Amino acid sequence: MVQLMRRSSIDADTDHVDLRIDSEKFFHYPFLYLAGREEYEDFSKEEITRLRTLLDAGGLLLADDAGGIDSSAFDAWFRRQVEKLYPRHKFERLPGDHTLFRSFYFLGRIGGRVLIKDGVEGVTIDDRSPLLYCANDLGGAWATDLYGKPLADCVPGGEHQREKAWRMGVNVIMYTLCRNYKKDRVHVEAILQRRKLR
Amino acid sequence: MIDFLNWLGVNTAGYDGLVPEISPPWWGWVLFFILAAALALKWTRGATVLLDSRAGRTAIFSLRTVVLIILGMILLDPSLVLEQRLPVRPRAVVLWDTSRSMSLEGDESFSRLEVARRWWRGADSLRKRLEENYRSEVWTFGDGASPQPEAFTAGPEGRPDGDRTDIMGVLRRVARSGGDAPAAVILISDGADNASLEEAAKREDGIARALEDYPAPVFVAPLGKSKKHKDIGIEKLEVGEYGFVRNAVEIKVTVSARGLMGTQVPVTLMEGRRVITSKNVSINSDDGRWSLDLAFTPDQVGDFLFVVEIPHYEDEATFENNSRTFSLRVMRDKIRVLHVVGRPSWDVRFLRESLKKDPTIELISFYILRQPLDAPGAHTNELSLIPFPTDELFDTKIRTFDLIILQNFPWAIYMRPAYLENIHDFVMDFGGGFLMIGGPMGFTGGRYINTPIQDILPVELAREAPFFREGEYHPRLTEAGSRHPISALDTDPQDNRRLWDSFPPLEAYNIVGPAKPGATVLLEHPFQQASSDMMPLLAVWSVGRGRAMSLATDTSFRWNLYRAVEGHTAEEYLRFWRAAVRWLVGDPEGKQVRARMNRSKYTPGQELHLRVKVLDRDYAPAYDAGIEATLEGNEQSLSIKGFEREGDDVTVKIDNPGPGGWRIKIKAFDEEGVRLGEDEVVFVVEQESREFSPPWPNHELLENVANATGGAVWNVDKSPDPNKLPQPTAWRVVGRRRLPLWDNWVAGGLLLIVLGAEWYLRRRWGLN
Repeated sequence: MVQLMRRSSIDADTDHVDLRIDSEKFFHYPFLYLAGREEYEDFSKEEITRLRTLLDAGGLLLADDAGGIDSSAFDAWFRRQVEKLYPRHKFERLPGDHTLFRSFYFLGRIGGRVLIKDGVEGVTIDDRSPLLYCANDLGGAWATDLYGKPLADCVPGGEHQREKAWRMGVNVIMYTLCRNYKKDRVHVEAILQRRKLR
Repeated sequence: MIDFLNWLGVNTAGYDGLVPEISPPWWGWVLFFILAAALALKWTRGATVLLDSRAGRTAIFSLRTVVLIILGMILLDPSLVLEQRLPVRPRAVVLWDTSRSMSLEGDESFSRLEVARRWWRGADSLRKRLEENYRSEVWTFGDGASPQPEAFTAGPEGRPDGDRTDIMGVLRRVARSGGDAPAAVILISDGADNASLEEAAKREDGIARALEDYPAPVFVAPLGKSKKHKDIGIEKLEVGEYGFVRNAVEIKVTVSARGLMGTQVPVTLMEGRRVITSKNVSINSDDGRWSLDLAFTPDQVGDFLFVVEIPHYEDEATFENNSRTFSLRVMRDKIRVLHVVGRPSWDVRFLRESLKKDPTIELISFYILRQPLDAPGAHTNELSLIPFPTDELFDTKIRTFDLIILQNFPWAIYMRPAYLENIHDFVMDFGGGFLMIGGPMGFTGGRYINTPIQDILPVELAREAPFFREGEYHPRLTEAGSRHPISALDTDPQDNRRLWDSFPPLEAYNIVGPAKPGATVLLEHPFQQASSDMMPLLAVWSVGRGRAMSLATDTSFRWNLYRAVEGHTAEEYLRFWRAAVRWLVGDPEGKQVRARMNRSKYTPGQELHLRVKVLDRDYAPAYDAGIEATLEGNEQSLSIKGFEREGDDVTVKIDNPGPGGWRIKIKAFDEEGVRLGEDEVVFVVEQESREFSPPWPNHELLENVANATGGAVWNVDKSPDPNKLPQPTAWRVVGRRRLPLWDNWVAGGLLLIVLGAEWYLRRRWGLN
């Protein structure tokens, strides 16, 4: 969040809150970050309903596989939960022209502590994607100690890869708060022009 | 013939005429005789084959032919009819054209109608013939047709003011009325027909076909100088009653001109004296019609009066057709909203989505994603950020918007002070809407104190810190808020209050001062005070020509998100913002003063009714409101008096001000004389007449009428020749006596004699 505030105009609360889905305050936090390494107990029907209610009302869930390996236990577990959460929608890799990749930074490659998959998967309903999933352990790249020193190395790309992770984090929050703002006509022309220059 | 009957001993006393009466037509009789001869020939050939004498065969054939003819005559029963006849004078109808085109120049000195009157008064012999030999009737036509018996001697009096020339209609009407068909019709007209006969004249032999069964010859007296006429006019104007702001409105103009060949004529569209657009028409023939399209793009909503105008040229027949007025109601097709945001937030996100969901809103958003001191750690080309086009938004294009929203926006970092002045003028002078939404950088926190924005806000700005506070609270709906279109989310006030009470709490607010005089507080803070009152959280007012609203929090998204997750719909949140936007842009439903006329277009003399509804600031009917209304147009301004209450409205009948475009301005005031609001209505009074489009005479049409009916053309420069009228030979049959020619003993006897002779000859010549 410090990086978010340093890089953009967004004012964020630097404290994080650990929440259970069945907690009373669950609905007060429309942006959810879910990370893990293991396979967990499946969400109950009630938990699925509450989670879907929040996402349908305008919330966003960013899931992050901290396992650091391809096809981790978390990956399999999360895919099962997505199947329960959105059985009628495709959970698939987001296209390159998705607003997520231009909401603040132009993003091509996705960073993270590891590079498991180059891309972000998600569920898209109409023109919004309330659920995003990254397999590269973004949280691992973001984690710092009290003095701001990274807790883990990013492999194989090092700090460049970490920077990509930061940028992805900023873009996710921008996408959450601005949605398809960057697809407004006034932006599209400027963005196309900017891309020609790159 | 009657004498011959007398000689035969038939009593013909009391009868004046004798006419044959035979059922079949002449060719039927010819057919009958040929058939009889053919049958007789066939009948004779077999019976006379043994007879050598040619004379004998001829005799038998002749006798048998005569037998068949006699039999046929008995069956067909031809007869003579004796008639008792009473002589009557036939009808003659004199038709005077009294349409408005007859007021135009007839010769160098007089109008067409006056020329006709003079000609008629000098036509003694014609009038004498009509009086002596006919049952003469005089009709005028222009607006319908009516008999004018007193006009026989000198012609019709008064000014010609009919708005229609329907020659075919009046000819048919006089033919049907009066019991018997007229024997002659005299038509005094300029021939400037604008009904079915003009249409018929466009087809080959159209007039001849239209009048082929007309029962009387029509004698025409054409008026007006057909060849010398000169005029140009707007014959037709095609434009809709409604247009949309920022969308082109097209006006199709048809110009008719005669005698102006080689002239470049400017056709100009004007609003008041302001020229909107103009196009030239090249008059490239001596007589014809030209069409052109005028187009313009209105940039404001409202009711407008426009005039399409052609210059006056010397010696024109009339100037009445050189301009046409029309009214146009310009509406929004979409409400253009400029949403400027200091930083992204949940409140921004939910407001954006609710505005985006409304198909009648075109949202233009600019969010500050990076402030000057932020360090994104990337080259500009790696960022999708675009420059904030302040010049365009707040200067050159500001009046293309209907509503400007500044949400949690610190102006001083991004804008020049002049832009705040522009926003102020956008509201005060242009009539735009303005909304400030709070947040740490809104209101006083956004440094709006002592700026032009302060003047248009409905609340005072706090001058002492703190300017922003966090913490949950339930806003309170005020009494005015329960009725105001923005916050009346349910039509029932009690249900509406319950609904607001059920809303989730908000969690932060800007500290603002009290509401300004004339502003209406819809929601107030439950415990934060501003001066002696509770702090206005949501306040609105009409300021200058526009409207403004302040919402001193950036947490209204909770009314959406938190209600939605509680199992409610987000409908109330959407309804709240839609109502707010509509009220801010002056949607008619949100106006406190609403005026309407019973029509938008009148003809001279038609009654005008104005109805006005005045609502108080809390949208309750303002029964004690004072109303000032003025009628403006044709460079005059008249005060309208005599309003009467009719339910919640007041109404007044207005004297028809006559042709032109008119605007009524209505202002309403509360009991203390403070303005409640204003409204305007426009209307057009126009003579719905095609008499001057075009105004010139059509002598060719009249000549064709005369030719088609066997009449004649009488030149009004000369005395008419009464001998051209048909001889009055009409009588009425009052008694009849039929004399059968063959249905009698003579025919039977003759038949027996011929049959006997035929039989005798056959026996004598040894035939069967």
